[in-house]
Amino acid sequence: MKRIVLASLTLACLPLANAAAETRHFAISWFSQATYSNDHDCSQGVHPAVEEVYLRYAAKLGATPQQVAEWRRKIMNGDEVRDLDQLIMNRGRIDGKPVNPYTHPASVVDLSLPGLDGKEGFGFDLDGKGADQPGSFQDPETKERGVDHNLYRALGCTRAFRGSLASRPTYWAWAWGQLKDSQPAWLITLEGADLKKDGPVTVGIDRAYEYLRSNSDGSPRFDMAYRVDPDPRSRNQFKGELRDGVVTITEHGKLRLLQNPLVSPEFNLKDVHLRLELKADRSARGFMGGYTPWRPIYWGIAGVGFGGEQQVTGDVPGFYHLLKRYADADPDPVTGQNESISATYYIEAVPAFVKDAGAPTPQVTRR
Amino acid sequence: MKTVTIACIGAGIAIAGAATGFSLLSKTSSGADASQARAISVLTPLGVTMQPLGKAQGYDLGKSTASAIARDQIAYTDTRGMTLYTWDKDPAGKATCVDECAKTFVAFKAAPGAAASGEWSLIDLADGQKQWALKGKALYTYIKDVDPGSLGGESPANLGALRRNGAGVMVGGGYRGDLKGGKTQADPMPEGWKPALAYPIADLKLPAGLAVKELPDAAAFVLVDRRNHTVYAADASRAEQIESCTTDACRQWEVLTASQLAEALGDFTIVERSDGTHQWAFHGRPLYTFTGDLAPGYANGLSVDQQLEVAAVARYYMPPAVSIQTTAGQGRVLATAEGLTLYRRDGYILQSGGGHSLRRGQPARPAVGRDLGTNARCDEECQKNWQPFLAADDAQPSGFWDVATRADGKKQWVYQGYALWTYAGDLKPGDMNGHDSYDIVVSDDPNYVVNVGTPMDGGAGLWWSIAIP
Repeated sequence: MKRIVLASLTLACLPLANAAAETRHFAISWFSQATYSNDHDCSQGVHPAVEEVYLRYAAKLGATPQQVAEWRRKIMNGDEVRDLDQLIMNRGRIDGKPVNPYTHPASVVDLSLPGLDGKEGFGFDLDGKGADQPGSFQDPETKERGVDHNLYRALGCTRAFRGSLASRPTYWAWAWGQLKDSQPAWLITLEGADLKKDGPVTVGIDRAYEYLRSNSDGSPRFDMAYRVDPDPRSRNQFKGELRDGVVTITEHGKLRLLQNPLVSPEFNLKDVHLRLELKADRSARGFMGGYTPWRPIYWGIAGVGFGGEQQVTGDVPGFYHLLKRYADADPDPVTGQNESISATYYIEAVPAFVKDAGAPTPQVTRR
Repeated sequence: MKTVTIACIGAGIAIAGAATGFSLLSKTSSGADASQARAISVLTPLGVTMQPLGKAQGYDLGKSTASAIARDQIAYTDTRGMTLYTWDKDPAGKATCVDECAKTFVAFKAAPGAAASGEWSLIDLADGQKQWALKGKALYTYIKDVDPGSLGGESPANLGALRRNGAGVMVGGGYRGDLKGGKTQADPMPEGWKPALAYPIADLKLPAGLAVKELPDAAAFVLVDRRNHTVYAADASRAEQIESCTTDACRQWEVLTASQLAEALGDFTIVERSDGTHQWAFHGRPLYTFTGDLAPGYANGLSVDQQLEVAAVARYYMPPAVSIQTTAGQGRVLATAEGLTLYRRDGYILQSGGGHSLRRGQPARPAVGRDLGTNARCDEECQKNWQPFLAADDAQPSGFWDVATRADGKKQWVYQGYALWTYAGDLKPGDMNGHDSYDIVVSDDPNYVVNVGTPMDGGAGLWWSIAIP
């Protein structure tokens, strides 16, 4: 009799146990390289304006000081400099012949513009070497030392990538402004016994079919519905924990998400770290870090070509040389060139409803 | 065509049709068989192809055009993609451009075994061969046309960047400074010669407020309303149901209303509904729009109700080995007969304003597809995951479909210039696990010359894209 009662109680409690599990979904509403630019982080100065960089290239390519002075005068006057444009948009050299510098960055002379040498940067101590590691940052929020974020070192003194969490870098404002209304949204799913309490959680990071839904003023809209794209290339799950309203990943694996070639065809991270703060208004914000291949980052920047170089990014082949120089992981077994770079990204997310895409579309009612 | 006075006939049939809820007001449609009406003609017979003209060939590398290439004109073409022309001086059923004339305009001869169909007929030539004719007019190619999409001797390559054409010759001009090629101005065509255009459609009598547009999702030219929204046609029985039901499902279909004074015209007739309003019908099938189509070019109603179809005027040729699948993420895609997604390999071009991820965010650029060819730079390693979509040895080109011969002698289907492939990672209909796969080129070798088959402004690379109709 007791057994029967116990069995009955167990069965009766199963739904309760399930009901106690909690799931929260978010749609990522902002994504960018995490930057913390300030007045003292580029001791050799922020990179010059793109026109000045062009004149340096011109000098390296054999232009006389008189030619450079004349071009400078015209630029200052707002006059056209088509001969300089022709030189610059074909400033790569293969066998002495001009080539497209954006597709052939290694053929472009390295102006050796400096990286960032500030002390503070967002992120995580990815390699566990702590504060003693030369070139590491201190996180301005957590005060953790030994932070590895060489992507910020590489690009932090270029004008397009300078900014802060509040004042967003030009490149990312430009890119996200285009992507948010066309790139399938990235979704975060948190599952735990009770997400109001500390404890273990599962963190899912997937891609939706739908792009981010916005309000009429362009701000991200809360509580919109998204379907998860079942494409295995964008399905990720990590074990983590929730403590004091902050979600972290405790088993650092690999992350893969299809992105958009405007910035990179795919977003790949290994040794993934996450620090996601759950806010009172049900949104979330935080940082994701790890090691990411640097060539796709260059490739995305290079896609803008000559026009975008002038208007948005600045010296494109210069990014190639900077990224190659600051890459700090995954050395090529033959050349020794590091193929990945430590990186931290800043994310904001809004609450969302999420369902599997596999569910069939309801049939139309037939009479 | 018979036109009926609405006031008289409408009153008469309304009584007879009371039981069914609606009445046909035009005698022209009273005997129409809905199943017959569904047999919409295919645009091209085997052996006749189609090519978009102008910038839709994809030569222009302007970043904005990649996302908004208008297909204003589609020409009928021969199996090489050369535009076909008719001559005003030819009488119906006769080809009179011979001798000196034939040095400039070459008869478009049919392959042995070619069969006439619909508006397409065959003219017997003196040498025993046959020449294709459209609506009785003999068809010719123009020797000054040098590549697919040429019109009147003007190559579409001249509209864009320097590019290698199908014959391996660099053509066109561009904006990249010293690589700019000289644009040649074509001489005017001799008088009386006109391109044979599949689109826009000529000689179709349309009621006011209706037009015909290309609807790639349906692989057809279809009727659109004043807003350019897709029009659908219902079976008679379904139309009755829609009229008498009030569910949300029924309310998705909005009646294409005809004015009270409108009269039947050509294939268009008028249905009087039980509430006294009039509705257009095409080939006897009442017409609707779908509330789920939020913009021109949408065809979301296609997958909602099998008893309504888009109101097609003509359909593209589709090989029997091909199907169109509706997918959750990317709408309608080309697929094998078994439903597995078909892909093309494309050269990457940046989209200013984003949009790459959107459906049709990267429209087909036939010239780029032809540059890449059947190999598409997919080497042996690549072909472990990507298999060419092979055609039967006797497969023939038609419409936007071409048949190319691979290096190993096998035939491969080509759609709008791109050789088609399947992906080993797709296991069931609807899978698109190869879509948006990139091969990018960033070399550390200062002497490495990028060659991915299509000119690049910025990042160089190739990507796999779903093939869409």
